[in-house]
Amino acid sequence: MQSKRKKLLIVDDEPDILEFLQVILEEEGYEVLTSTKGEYLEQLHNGGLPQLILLDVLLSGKDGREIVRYLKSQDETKHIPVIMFSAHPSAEETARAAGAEDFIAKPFDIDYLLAKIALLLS
Amino acid sequence: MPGDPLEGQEVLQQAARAPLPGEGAPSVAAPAPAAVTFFNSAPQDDRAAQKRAEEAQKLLAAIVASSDDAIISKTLDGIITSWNNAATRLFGYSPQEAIGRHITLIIPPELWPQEDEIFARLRKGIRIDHFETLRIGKDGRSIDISLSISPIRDDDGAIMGAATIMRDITRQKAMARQLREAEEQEHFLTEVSKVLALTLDYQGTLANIGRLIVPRLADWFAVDLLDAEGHFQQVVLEHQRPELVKWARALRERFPIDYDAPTGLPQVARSGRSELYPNITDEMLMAAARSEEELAIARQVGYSSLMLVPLVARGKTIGVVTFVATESGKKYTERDLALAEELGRRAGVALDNARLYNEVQQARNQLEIILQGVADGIIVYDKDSRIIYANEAAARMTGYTSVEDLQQARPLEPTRRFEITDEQGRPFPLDRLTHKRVLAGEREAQAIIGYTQKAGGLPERWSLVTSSPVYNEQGEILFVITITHDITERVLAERRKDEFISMASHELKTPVTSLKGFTYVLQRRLRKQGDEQALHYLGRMDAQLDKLTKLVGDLLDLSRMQVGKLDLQHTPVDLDALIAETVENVQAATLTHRITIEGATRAQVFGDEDRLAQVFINLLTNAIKYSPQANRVEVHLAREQACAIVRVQDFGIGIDDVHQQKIFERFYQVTDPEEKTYPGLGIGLHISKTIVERHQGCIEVRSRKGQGATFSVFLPILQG
Repeated sequence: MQSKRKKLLIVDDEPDILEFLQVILEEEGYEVLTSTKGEYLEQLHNGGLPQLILLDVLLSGKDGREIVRYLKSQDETKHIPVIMFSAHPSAEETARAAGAEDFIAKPFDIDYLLAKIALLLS
Repeated sequence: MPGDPLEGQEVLQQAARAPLPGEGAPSVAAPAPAAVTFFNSAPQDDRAAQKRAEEAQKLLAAIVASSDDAIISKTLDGIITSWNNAATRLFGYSPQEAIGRHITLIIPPELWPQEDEIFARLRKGIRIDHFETLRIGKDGRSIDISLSISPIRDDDGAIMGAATIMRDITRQKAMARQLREAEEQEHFLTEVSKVLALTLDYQGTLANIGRLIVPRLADWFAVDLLDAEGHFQQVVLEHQRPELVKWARALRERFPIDYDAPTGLPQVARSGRSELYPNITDEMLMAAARSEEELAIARQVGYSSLMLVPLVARGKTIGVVTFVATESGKKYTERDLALAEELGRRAGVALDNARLYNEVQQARNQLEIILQGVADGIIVYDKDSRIIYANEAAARMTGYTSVEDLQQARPLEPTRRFEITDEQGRPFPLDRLTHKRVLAGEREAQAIIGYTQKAGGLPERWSLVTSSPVYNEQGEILFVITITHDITERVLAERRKDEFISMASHELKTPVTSLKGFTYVLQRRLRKQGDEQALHYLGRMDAQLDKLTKLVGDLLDLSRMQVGKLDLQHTPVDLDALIAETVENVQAATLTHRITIEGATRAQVFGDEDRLAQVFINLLTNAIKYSPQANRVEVHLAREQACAIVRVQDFGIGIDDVHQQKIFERFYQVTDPEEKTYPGLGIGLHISKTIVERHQGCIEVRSRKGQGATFSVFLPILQG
């Protein structure tokens, strides 16, 4: 069973958001890693790569879109689907342009998010 | 023979020729008034001849006596020997008084040398014909005469005297003088007219006239113009002797014009009639002076004669011209007055022209000053996009150093130092510049243009540029006027505000996201525990969070709309399906009303599905909100030609006529006491209207107070 659990990485500079997402997603059966720092993503090693990344657009001190561009430029990570979210609905266009597979505007409907995650992992 | 007093107008004839046949030496009849023989009376021996001669003599005497010309004869010594009736009439002396006296009796002393000259010629047998000169009558009067003098010879042909025929030519002389004067006046007026036509500077014009008139017509010439208040402004004062100007000025300064005086400048201005004072006496000065001092100065001026004539332009008296004779001692006559009046008329017209010209010039200058002074850039293009006028601001705003610099710019080189962009920062298409659009047929074109510096260094500028055409009578474009209004501050302030609202909504949405997340977690827990009541409360919380989310979203939308940045993602949208889904969602959140759908549009529209849904959610929630007593809301779907129609009808409180148009305005809230109990931001309908209009559609309301309301949305159907 352990091996079948999909690993998700969530990066958001708001700890509350990380916390409830972790609770919900773990209940959904995912293995959840969280970080408030964008730099975390750039230090990922092959062994610990997640199957999907949830990434805030505006991180304190770091633009999520640059991180996506970086991930999509690396062979090890470019296949990992990325869902970006932001309280700026207008960020969708730039998020997709940076390489994100999907975008969700905050605040979001949780069921909607779960459906998108399931879709991208299937 | 210069200096010969007989040269000039007189006619001298050489009489020293052989007498013509029948022309003999004249004989002078001793008795009777003296006479001159005009023709030969050859000596006859026989009695018959003698008789004929006597008869001829009598006849001659009768002719001489009855002649209208004065005929006298004199000896070579100048003693008058005969004197006819006409001579008596002309000079006033009877024959008795004249005969025997020297001819100088009737010659002015200054002409005696002339008479000597005449005698000298006579002695040489030279006739003098029609010589015009002066004689003096008994009463001392000067008489213009034309005289012809013939030598009188004795029987031997020796000259013994002279016969003089004199004709009074005073009238002819006067007429000739008048004629000459008239010619001179005409010449003078022509000169004046030339001066008047010379310049449109009226000060200069008047001064030039002044110099023509002084000293010819006056020793002192002044022009007073009436100003707007009806007061005289002395604009020219020309004096024969400039040092005397001070007296004239002193009079005016010390003793202001009495506007109620029955004569003088004010009266001339009022009546438009000239005043002539041919001879100004000391008594007149005394009568006119209001004080000893005034009298003293008036005496200093030394008035001799005075004329006041109106300056007339377009039938209106605009001032008064004063002609004063002082030391010249000239006495003005009616003739002078006529000339002065003519002068006044011509000067008036010229002055009026000069004034009009000045006014036009001033208006032009004023306009130029105003145009240069306005903060907005003004550029006028001709129909070929060439700049025919620009002000400083326009040059500055488009990066040119001067107006001339800008005017030499090529039509499609609108700026020199800047790159021009649209609001989204894209290069501004040059054929979409506002003056180009007007030349292409638009009645008014407006654009917001950003100026960024090519080399960097200058801060960005933003302008609201508006162009409108000026047509000629044929309806063709003459000019395009482009006004460039600097809106940099506004744009930057809006940008800051936009950034603030955007940031604020971000900051609001983040906690709402967490709230919704934890609500979701709690709902799952409570569902497991089966706590229905707690779940219900959480459901209410979640619904309120959705409302909060929507409000924050509306605020963000509003700020974006204001700066024209509401981004729409256009795709083909199945309108009926969208309505069904929207109604379902709204119905799910309301227990009070049943929402029904009637009809169908069977239409696709091209638009932003989420934004269109936002419109219908707005209309549906409004319908529910404003019909608390009702239990249903109806949605009617229809299509008319190329238009899909969605009507949302409620059965609520309705909207009064006065509010019906305004409810679509931003922040508008119906202020009736009843409606006040329905709070809101007053932005939902404004956002809905903006969204619908961005889809090339329109929205309208039909309502009566207390009778519910129907909001209709019209959207163009996507063809094909």
